[in-house]
Amino acid sequence: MNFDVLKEKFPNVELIKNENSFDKIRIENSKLVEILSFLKNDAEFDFNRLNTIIAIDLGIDSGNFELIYDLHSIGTGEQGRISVLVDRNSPKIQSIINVFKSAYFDECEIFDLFGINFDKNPNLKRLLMPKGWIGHPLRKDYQQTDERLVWNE
Amino acid sequence: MKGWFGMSNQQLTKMKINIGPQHPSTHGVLRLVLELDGEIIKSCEPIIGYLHRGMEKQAEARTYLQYLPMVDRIDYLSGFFNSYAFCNAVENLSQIEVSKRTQYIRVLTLEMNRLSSHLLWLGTYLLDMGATSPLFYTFRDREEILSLFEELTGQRLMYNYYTFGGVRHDASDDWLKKIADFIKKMPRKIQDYENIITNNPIFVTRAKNIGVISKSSALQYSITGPNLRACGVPFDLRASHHPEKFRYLIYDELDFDIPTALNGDSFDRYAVRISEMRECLKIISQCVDWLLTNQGDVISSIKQPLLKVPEGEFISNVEAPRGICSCYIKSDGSGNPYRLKWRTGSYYAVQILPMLLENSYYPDLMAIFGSLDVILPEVDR
Repeated sequence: MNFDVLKEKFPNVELIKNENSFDKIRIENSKLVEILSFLKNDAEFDFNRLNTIIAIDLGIDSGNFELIYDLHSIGTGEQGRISVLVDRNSPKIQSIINVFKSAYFDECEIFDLFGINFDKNPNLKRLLMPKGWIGHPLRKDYQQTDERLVWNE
Repeated sequence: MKGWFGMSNQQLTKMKINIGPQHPSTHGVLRLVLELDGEIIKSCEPIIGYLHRGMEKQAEARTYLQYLPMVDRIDYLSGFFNSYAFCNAVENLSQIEVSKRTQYIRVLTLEMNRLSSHLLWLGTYLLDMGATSPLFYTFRDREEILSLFEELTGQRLMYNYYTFGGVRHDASDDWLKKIADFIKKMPRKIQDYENIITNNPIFVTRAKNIGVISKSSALQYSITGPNLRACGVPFDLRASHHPEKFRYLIYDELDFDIPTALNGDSFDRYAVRISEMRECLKIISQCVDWLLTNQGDVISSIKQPLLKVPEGEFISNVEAPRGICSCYIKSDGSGNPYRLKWRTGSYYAVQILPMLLENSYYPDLMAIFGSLDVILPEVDR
């Protein structure tokens, strides 16, 4: 994907190249919806499908969650990875379901398993875990301390 | 006139009903909360998570080899696809070379698996719609495939056959000849199904023009696989228009077509899957021919239990029978994954249900839902 064109339009984006990894584009949290809808609607990029949203707990030391938005373009065959960092202490980010409707389940799942809140998601709920579950299981510091489940031991 | 219990007629026709989680037609534990007005569905809310096994969490506590047998259980009807997605990601991260013969064996087993998965879907879908006989025919053929798999891998459903950089056993020439015999019989049988189903006026009237997904909403909801191709989008990772970007394994050496349809209704999804079965047979016969004439090494030389994957991240995409299956792995250089994420096709097909079912008739529910080919272990993981 043509990074320079994106850089021209949004100066604060940053290309991250790691060894043994795919390239990803790190953007500011506040620009998320704007950049994704630009990538979706722009004729040159034409990222018309959101494959999935991947959430990663980068650990207590780094103090961040990372979200990777995996975009596909059916027309050009490109794959684009947009990455944002979310603060671990107050995990909150804009919802993108107005851009890609398929993000609704993804966001609910991330809320369920990581405890990241999505602003303007109309019905954020626990999707995979039971309603009354305590904690967010995929966080690295998660410990199962629910007394109701002691019988399991 | 007042109706029962002092309620007006309008109040009497409104009803909230609950389907599942133990409903025979949902093929697993999906729960749907429907609001009905008479026979018309006004709203639908899918509730999932009854089969959540924490596949992603469990990966973090296991080594790569310990996790390998588990991935087949994500979609128990097409275990090879999950297994391939996982092995491919690990191989790419650790730069393990995969021999050509291994790749051909993988394509052969993947396509056989796709065939068996579509056969099961065909039988159960028609059963949901009230036709009992197709089930017996398709299960008869699927049984043959499963017996062949049992001979190759020792298992009927949970194969655990792929390893990092290879497969567990080579396919013998005897076994390949059995496959060749099997695929010779299949086109005739698929024609038989078409004769009793495609030309059946009851099935056609029930399946046509219901559950229509438009091109744009299919993309919006990230629908993939045969469901997307039924809307007229020829998107298939096996034969993408942009070979260098999506293609995997040796599909570019094989000759096959990508069947599509135009309307995106239940009947089209059925038609696409039937044509896809024929394409599977084409691919399988080419693989058998190649494997019978070419020899090579298939057993991986790396020490599987001690495998330490170098730092990095990778997403491997596979065109599974129910849509794109992606496996994301982030490794921190140790023996177990730092983070592993599954993306499966059925997950997004469940999400489109509220939109599809709105203002459709209640008796059409299973004709629409069944045609999406949703499998619940894949949704909940």
